[in-house]
Amino acid sequence: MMTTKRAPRAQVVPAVIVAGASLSPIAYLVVQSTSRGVRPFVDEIIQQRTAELLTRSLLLCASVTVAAVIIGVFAAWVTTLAGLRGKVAWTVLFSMPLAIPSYISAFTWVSWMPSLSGFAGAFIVLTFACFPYVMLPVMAVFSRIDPSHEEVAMSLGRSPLITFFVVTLPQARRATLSGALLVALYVLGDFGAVAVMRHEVFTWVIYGAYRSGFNPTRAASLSLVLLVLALALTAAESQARGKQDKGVSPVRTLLRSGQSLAKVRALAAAVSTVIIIPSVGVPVISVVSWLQRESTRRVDTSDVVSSAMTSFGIGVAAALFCLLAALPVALMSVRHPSRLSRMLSAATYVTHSLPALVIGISVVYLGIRAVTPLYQELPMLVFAHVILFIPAMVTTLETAIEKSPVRLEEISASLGSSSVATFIRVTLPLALPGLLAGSALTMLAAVKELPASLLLLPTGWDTLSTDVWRFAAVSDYAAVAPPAITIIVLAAVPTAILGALSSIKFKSDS
Amino acid sequence: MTYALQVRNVSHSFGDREVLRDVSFQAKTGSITALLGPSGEGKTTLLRIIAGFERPRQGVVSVNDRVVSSPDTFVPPQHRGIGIVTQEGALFPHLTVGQNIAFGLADRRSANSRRRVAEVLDMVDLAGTESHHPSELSGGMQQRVALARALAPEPELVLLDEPFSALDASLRESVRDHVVSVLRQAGETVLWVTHDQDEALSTADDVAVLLKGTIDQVGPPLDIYKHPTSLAIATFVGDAVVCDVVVAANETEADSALGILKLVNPIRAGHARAIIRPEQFDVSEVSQDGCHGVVTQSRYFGHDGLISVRMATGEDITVRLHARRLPDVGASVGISVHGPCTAFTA
Repeated sequence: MMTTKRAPRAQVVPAVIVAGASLSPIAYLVVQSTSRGVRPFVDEIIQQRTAELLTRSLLLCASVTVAAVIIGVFAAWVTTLAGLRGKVAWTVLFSMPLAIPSYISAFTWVSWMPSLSGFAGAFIVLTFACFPYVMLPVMAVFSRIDPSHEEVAMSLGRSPLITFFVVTLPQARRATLSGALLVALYVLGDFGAVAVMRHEVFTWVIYGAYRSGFNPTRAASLSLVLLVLALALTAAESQARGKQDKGVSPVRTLLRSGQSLAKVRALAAAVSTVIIIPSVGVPVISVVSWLQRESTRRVDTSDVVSSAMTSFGIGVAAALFCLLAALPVALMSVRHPSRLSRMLSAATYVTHSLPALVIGISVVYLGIRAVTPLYQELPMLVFAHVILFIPAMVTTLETAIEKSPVRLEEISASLGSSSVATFIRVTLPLALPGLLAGSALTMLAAVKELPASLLLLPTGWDTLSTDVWRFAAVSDYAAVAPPAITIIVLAAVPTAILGALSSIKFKSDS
Repeated sequence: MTYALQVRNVSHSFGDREVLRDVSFQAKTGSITALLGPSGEGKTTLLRIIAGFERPRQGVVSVNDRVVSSPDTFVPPQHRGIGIVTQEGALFPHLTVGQNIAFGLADRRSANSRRRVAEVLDMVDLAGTESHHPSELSGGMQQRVALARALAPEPELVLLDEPFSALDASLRESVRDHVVSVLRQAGETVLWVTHDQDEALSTADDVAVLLKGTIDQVGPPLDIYKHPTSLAIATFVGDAVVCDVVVAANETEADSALGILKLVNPIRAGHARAIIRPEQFDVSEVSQDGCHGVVTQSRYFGHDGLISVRMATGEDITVRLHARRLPDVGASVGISVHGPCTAFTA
């Protein structure tokens, strides 16, 4: 029985502050785009080229989302239900695209196939970069599904394939939707892949508007259009989510004898390999081959080390603050669902669709106007990263908190624990795997992140991502290799842990 | 007589749906009270209100004369000292058996606490399982650990929410008997939610019947069975044949298709409905002046059996008989009624 109790003030107040901070860049956008009045703003938007831009952006977004959902659900099936050997290894391999930033994989594709550009290039790079966002949440559901449902379906005469589509998959509907939304928003906000592929979608056009003559009104106006798209997506998702039952947790440990046919397993392994070649093989092999070219030249390793230290420090700080900021929002939306909690959750979600570039510029503006002492200092970059990565963190935490059924918290209260003690003794330990996963993801994202770093990094500092950008822009792939491979290796560690954690089922009940 | 639990005029609703309506009852200190009712009629909600997981819209709940919930007081669950065991046990999956049981103890690392854990584990016959993980235990063992966890902090009241319904039938009875003997030895006051009337009638000291969101009768099992206060309770608790009768002017006898029935309590003369328990019927040779019918069905349970008889007047009745005396299907039998019946004005 779910009952809605009002959220305690200790959750509401921080959640409101976090949502407000997340929305501050949007306030900047509105001010900026209407600074010369509403009329120029409307003129800026109602143009033939805006319609074309919109079509191109939506087309890319929709195609990548569909493709990523198909691949992501397939990958989730392979790593949980298919009965393949080496589930952990498959999961780690499938998670690897998360370790490779879209601008690095785009550069590797271009270095192999110089003719690749535009829609095709962006579609390929983004699809193979994004499908883990669908795979991971769907895996979590698949690994906890009660096999008796499938068995009942098959006993009623459904084939295993039909059973998967009518019984298994519908139970992962919420996870699939939330993964698909992440993909759609990622694509809308991605800068690296479309910039390298010179595909004229919102982010690249906005970037161009800033660079060529610094046209803040057009950039801000287009960013607002982008924002509306993201809002529509978020609304659709929360609509779908509201209709679904949640938090059902089987108490007994599920034993799945699940040995599928040898033929099916062979096919699954073959298709998986076909997915892993473009998503992991191409970028890794390219970068390694660049590194070999590099080895013939003199390398200054101290530069790479200092860039790596900077990236790592920023990443850890971003993950820590992001966790602290996301916690009250996620707690509220899971434990005290209400109109307010949905609004706050959606508010933090909105920034995900804004290009990191726009957030970067709005934070620069904030630094000049509001917090002058911090202008051009590292905290501003960390702040931008927290705003950027809070949506993913909220989603991950929501799923993690749902792992701890309300019933267990009630039992804890009946045994004398206060709500704070219950959180520390019951909710937190049960949510810990998800919490660590969320933090690893955030750190990784901060290390990979490019546009905000380009804008907000104090002069004299370098990160791995800005190094890659600087050298790749002049096609000096030999110089790109060390920072690129460092990013991939650095990000591969938490990614591998994340993949392994997702694969090794939480041993006990829940 | 002292009462460890008193519930007065509690009402509750979810949105517009009223689930509890003016519920009042009390549980004697050191006794086991079964809260019996069909599924989905508010039993669990009442339990959650007593535990402090829900705040009722109206009414007062007191534990050992301390008001824990009223329109102007609300003691949160962690300060009520009420232990609870749920249907699934709900053991903390990340803690060992020992850590689960120590969860509610004040100083968990002290020697005292270790002693208490060992003590309650011993009570539930699971001594030495401290370091086991909940997932390594069977369902019955998990329920016993959940009980030990609830008992460890010496609660003022223990709530059991259908604690055995998730166990399979073979295990159920033995775990239940074990749990009951543990609770009795510990002298706990227990409120036990169940929809299983056999369980309630055979184990509880008192039964509170919750029908349609309200409690109309509380009393020892035999009282509830023999002297139900409403037709609804009479037919919910135990099997019963309901027959239309006409109460005579003397208000202690009634005329029915089964002959003249004696009434337990006098009621107003006129049309009424009487309750006859299956074991009150007696089967004999067909005689001239008695009632008779034809056996249409016979169910054999080993120790006794139930037969269905279609009476000459067209009514169907169920009769409980000793297994030795079960007539064959199709046989004509005479039917008489033993002992007084309870009747309700129609």
